[in-house]
Amino acid sequence: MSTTDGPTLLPSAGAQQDAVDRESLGKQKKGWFNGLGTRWNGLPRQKQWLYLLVIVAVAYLLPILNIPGLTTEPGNNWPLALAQMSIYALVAVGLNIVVGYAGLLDLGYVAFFAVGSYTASMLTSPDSPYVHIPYLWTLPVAMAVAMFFGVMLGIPTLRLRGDYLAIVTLGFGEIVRILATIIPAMKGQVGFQNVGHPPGTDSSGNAIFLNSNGAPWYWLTLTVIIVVLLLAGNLERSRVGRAWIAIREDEDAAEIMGVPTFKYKVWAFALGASVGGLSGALFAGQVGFVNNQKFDVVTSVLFLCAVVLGGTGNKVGAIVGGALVAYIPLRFTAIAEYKYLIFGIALVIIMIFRPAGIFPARQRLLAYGTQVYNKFTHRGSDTPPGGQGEAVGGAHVAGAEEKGAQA
Amino acid sequence: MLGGQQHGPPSISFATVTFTVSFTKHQEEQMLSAAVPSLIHALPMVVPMDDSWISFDVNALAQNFWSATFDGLTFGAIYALVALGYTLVYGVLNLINFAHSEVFIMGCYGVFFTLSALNFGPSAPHLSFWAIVGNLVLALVVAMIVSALTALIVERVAYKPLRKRNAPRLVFLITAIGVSFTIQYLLYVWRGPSPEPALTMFRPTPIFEVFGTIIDSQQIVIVVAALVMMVVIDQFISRSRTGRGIRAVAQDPDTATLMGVNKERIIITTFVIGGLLAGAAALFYVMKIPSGVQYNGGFILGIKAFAAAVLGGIGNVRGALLGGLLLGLIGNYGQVLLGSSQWTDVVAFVVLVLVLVLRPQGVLGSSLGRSKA
Amino acid sequence: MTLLELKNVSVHYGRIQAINDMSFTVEEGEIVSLIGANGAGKTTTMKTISGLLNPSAGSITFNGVDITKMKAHIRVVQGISQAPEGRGIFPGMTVMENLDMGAYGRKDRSGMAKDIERVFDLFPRLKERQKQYGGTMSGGEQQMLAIGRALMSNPKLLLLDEPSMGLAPQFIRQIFKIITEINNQGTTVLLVEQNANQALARAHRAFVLETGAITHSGTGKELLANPAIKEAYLGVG
Repeated sequence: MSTTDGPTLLPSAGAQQDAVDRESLGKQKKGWFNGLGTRWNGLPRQKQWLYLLVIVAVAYLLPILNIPGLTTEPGNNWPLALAQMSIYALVAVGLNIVVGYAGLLDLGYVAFFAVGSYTASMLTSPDSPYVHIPYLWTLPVAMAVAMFFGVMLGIPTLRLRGDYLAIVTLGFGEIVRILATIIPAMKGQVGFQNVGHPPGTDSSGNAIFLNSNGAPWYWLTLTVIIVVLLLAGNLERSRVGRAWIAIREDEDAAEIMGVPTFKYKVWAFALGASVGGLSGALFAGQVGFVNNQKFDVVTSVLFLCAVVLGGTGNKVGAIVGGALVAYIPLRFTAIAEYKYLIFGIALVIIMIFRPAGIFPARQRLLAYGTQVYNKFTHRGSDTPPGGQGEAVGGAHVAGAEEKGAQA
Repeated sequence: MLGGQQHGPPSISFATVTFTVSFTKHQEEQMLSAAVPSLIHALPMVVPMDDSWISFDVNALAQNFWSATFDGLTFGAIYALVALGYTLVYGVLNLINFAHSEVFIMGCYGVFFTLSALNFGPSAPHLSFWAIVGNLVLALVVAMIVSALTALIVERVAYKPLRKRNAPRLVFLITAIGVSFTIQYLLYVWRGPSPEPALTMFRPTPIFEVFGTIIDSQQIVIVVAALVMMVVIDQFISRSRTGRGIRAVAQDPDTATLMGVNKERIIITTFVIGGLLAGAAALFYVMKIPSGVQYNGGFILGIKAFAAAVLGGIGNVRGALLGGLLLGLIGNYGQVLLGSSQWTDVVAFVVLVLVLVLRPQGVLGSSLGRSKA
Repeated sequence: MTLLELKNVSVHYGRIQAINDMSFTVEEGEIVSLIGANGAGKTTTMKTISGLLNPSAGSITFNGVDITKMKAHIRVVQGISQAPEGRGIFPGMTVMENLDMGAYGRKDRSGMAKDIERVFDLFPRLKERQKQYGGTMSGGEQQMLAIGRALMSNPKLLLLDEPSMGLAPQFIRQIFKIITEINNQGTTVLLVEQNANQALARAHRAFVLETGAITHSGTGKELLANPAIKEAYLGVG
């Protein structure tokens, strides 16, 4: 077997058998929140929008609604905690594009985060001798630079099988930290103070975006998340998204079907990297200080844990996962010291017992499969909606059509 | 990787970035030309030292060429032993066992606790030659057992359940990194963030001189012992019945089962062999870097060992040896050339990426039996 | 005496049933052929007997012992040996090493030496190519090696999964001649084939497999004469 072979692990006769077993199992016990997702898909579109509006409104109000029990105070400032959670959530959304959609394991995601942070700080901090630009302009620049690194790293490795990507990104995560230490221009541990922030002052003339004031940063990041989600959602439903899912499920088959797998993998990797860069830039602005101590590989694993916790391939899950990974150590300060251990164990346990995460991704290969299915089932008898409608592709839609014909 | 002095020319110039790329491209040629030091003297100074974040001290390399070589081979021998663990597991399971770096570091802790209990300390012990040998052999045995046990537990607890339900490859990889992370932070919680106090096993004594460079007893011990182990493993894999079973499972697991090979037992054996070798590497590592026992100390070494395995051809036992030695040399030359020990890691990483681009099957090809027809 | 008995065996790939309530026996000393089209369940049957797949219902008895739940590698020691579909030669091992793999579960050196002589007698070509790597041999040579390797465990029952696949016609005749010879030496053979002509001509008894169930059975000659089978599998009629 050559190194460029597809993702086969000990190809054995039982594999097929078990693969199908797994699929049927997966359908029976989809998730703790299975009912939620099913019911959600059963709702009419207007109602979905209404609920979404309420959820978004509550999300925006969170820094003001300092709900007892939920809040991280007195241990940690609640709006600042929210700001951090939102940045983690954004990171998870970005990493989810790579790991969840395209099935590529990026273990050095923190490196892109770092690239974004350094880009923002080197272009705004007074400690940096280079060109200075307004902070908000650093966001697209950070995305572009991170994307560039993503492409540079992706091109040599993405032609090979997935394992190599994992180890190369793992190495890259560490290399960026080392380079930040040994390249004088990146100022090692001294770092960059007073990273820029968006403009604007309140009535008394103080800047709105202070490092100590989490709420505006939270609102900014939340807005960014919503924009990224809308774009990612569109991508997911597009040709690109279908290609990613095909690659994730069976790269060889996708290649044979004429999907240019390499191109789409590079796309996923580069897009993921750019979101990583974006979140890094936001992080640099919010914290206001960047040095080489902030970007170790363990953070990459935390990011991965966020995605896995939420359910790889599910963008809502990624947000929740990312927020949780940031929230748990801030809320439960007693266990904060053990957070890496806890998340490491969580990673293993989830993978062994519940590889689909809290919110398992629905693998809709046909974008409108669910709608078609719902349409027919609603018109037909009182068949409970869901379950099959979200299943893997064409066969079930065909089944739905059959039912419709009978009805 | 090994502490060491910082070397920092003052400021950055992005113009040199392009140069870096061309450097990496021609690195191997440079290494080749470096094999003849006299040639290097003839080369002009490649880069002005000022206003660049990376500089090439060719004179330093020329002066220290042979010492860098011997030291590089010593590190290379250690990499090679760890790389074997990656290669064997990869051959049989098609899996990068990220937890192998922790299997290795557990061995380092085994060495540390054994030698501490035997009253070894920061300065070299006042013991007779044979007493030291006896103690080191004891530490070696303990380390090998600890590492092998760790590998065994990781296999049973984490990988076997996944194999049983034929989990997709991504799940295996995520589990592997999760296990690696878990062990690291178990060690962290137990031993804290700082390295264990240094242990000196013996004072390296000069043995003989080659090309004006002294070769000491430590280098000889490490290289010779590692080579002996590699030969033993190579013969074991190619000649013994179990070795044949390992190769058969690597080439075609289903047919191997039809021949009466117990796949599960072969998998366990493979993990244990990898663990034993990592344990041996641990002793030599602590010998070379007395203060290297730290909760995350295996991480970078693991990546380098994996790079070595890929360099030689993953799944190939002899490739692991060759890759380890090559990577040790390249890393050391890079370090001398670039002036800071931290560059070793960067150079190793660049080598890994270059190998993946230019020759992903490695120098010797990946042939734990997986050779193409 | 009945050597192998399948009783009401069903095999599933997930929800897809590959074999449906199949029963048949193989008597000691016989050559039994299973013929059928692609996807009829021939290879699934073989894998179920050798233990690579587990039946979802039914039982398998071999030599008087219930082996339904027995692990595949232990069945080899019990005396079931398979030359798998696609031959399954270890490409990175020499011919000799491949043959050694066949005797993996054995400890008796004298018996092994005798069996290697037997294999070399049957396939003189393998003796010439002892040191050659399996992956570098032609399809016919690989098939010889696969059969020879399966014989190295000195099996009571030899399972052959499509030995004629991808071989030239004169080679197919040769392989089948050797199969008869192996049988004459006392090894029971269960054969799965698409090449119905040869398989039926050589078999004592045969079964026709269609979509996971046995639809015809009889002696090889009976089935060869059956017009329905002639039309479906022999390309005449």
